[in-house]
Amino acid sequence: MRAADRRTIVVCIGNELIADDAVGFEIYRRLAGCRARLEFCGVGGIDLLPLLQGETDLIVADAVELGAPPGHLHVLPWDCLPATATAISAHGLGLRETIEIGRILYPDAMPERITLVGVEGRCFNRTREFMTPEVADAIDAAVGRIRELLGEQA
Amino acid sequence: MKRTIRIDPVTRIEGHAKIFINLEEDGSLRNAGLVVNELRGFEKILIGMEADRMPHITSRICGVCPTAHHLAASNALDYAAGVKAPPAAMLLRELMYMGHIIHSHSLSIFVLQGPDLVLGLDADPAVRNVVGIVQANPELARIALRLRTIGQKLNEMVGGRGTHPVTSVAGGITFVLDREKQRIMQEWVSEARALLPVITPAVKGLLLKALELHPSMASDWATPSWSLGTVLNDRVSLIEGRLRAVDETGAVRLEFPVEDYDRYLVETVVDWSYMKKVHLHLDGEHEYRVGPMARMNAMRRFGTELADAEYEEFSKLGGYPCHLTVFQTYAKLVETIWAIERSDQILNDPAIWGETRVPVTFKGGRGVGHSEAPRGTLIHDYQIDEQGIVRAANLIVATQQNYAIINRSVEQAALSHVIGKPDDQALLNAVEFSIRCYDPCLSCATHALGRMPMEIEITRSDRTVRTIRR
Repeated sequence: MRAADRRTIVVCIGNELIADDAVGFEIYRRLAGCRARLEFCGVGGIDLLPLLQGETDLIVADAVELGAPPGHLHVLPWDCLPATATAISAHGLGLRETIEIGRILYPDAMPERITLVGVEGRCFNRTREFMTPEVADAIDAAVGRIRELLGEQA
Repeated sequence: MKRTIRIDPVTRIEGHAKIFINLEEDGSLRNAGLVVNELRGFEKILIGMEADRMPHITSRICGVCPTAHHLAASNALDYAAGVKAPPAAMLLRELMYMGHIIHSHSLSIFVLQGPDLVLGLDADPAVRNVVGIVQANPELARIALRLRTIGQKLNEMVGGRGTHPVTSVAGGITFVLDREKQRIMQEWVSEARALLPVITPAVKGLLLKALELHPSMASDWATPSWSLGTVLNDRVSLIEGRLRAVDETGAVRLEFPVEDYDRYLVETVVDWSYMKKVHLHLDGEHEYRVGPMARMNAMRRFGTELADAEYEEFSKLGGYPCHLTVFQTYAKLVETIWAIERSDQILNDPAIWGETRVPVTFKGGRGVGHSEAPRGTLIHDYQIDEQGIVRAANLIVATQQNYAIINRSVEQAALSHVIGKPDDQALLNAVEFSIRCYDPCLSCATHALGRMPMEIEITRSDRTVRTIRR
């Protein structure tokens, strides 16, 4: 497929009221006007599915807890996405499971290339003004990587 | 020897569940329970804020039941200001809420509890998850997700936003219906109604199959308790009405307006969990349940044709009052049917076209209001000063009220799966299932990607003998 035929949707996820979780919202704000369909989700999970309209590429921007130092930028292709274990309450369905479900139910609407741009967070139990400095500093880098992925100038 | 349970604040916030099972030296059960933290921080955050922001701020407590907080807060403010929202506003709030119920229950039935029913309690957890349920029956999953989307769209059109609605305010609602929106919503509701003949037998079939595979669910897994729900005009109601408590036998013991809740519902601190548990006090202390099944135990009529017929079926299978944990799923189905029918009624009620807002001022005082959240009664109680600033806030959420019953279910699971049985996998499944029937909301604070494990600590005479993690 030629680059011109690719269509990308960027979905930014996060609660803008919670310290490091707000990172998805900040990325969303700074990406305004980018060369892709841009969407924001307060929470991820299964609500992601109706947003996908057959784009070839999906970029998900979110705060993550994968054990790296705070502010670490993870750029993970689909096959490196962490699986979420069965939980007592599955309210927080993971990205990987969501896409797997989408591939079974709505195969035509699912993107072929999926990238997670995750910023490692540390603080998820305080309000917005307590965003970890390293996380705040990583927002521009995350936006830059997404713009690179979109083929724009970083 | 003193038992020590370590609760790491970060893991609590992330939605980890910690369960303890304490045994005596002879191996018999001393006690068992779920350790959890929820919501308490929010009561402090609200202090010092303008009261009229409460419906917007409190809806952010939760991404799962934001509309329940949005409307409980609106009701509390109406009470504080001494106004009654106009009939059209109440109808539109209710319509928003019915959308929310359809959305929340379809997720809960098919996604949260579905895996247990579809794949069976003993299935490998690697497949006993949402992906597994979708694989097992993609057609049903597609329909269930469509129903969920319809609920979300109704909620969004009236509420102004998809996940955290904004239109309900003190004194009414800022949304005004027009013919075009009425037509669109009518189409959605008709589509939802058309899905019922597929959904209803499918869910019932799954439940019956689960009971066939695990007959003990219909006998041992009963937790008799009092039930609390909201009634209005001799029917179940969700955002308006009086609270009614029935005892284990279904006898009506108490009915009260929500502002009197603190006379009967008493919060107590337990030393092993951040969540306060709530008991009902009336001639002694009673454990009680809230939620879909409790609402049906408290009031046996919905006032719509299909829901009332389905409730008949429900009582035939589950008895009255129903105390079978596993029947929560069926109760949610009955409420989903009702929510669709009730949306239809509201959309065709001429009163929906009236005035939607009255002016409001806060002269200082208390604001108490409630809603029946998908998981049960939700109460907001604010002290508001004469400048309209919140000075104190108390929130009672469903999971707190179900806490005693949840812990009793964990004990039942422990009794049937721990005592003399070394099978960790079966224990984890049983404990998980018993808790999940109450659909507790443990993971409100963050959705960040990562694992959400469960940890069970088993002690014998205060020594840790086993810690199981998933």
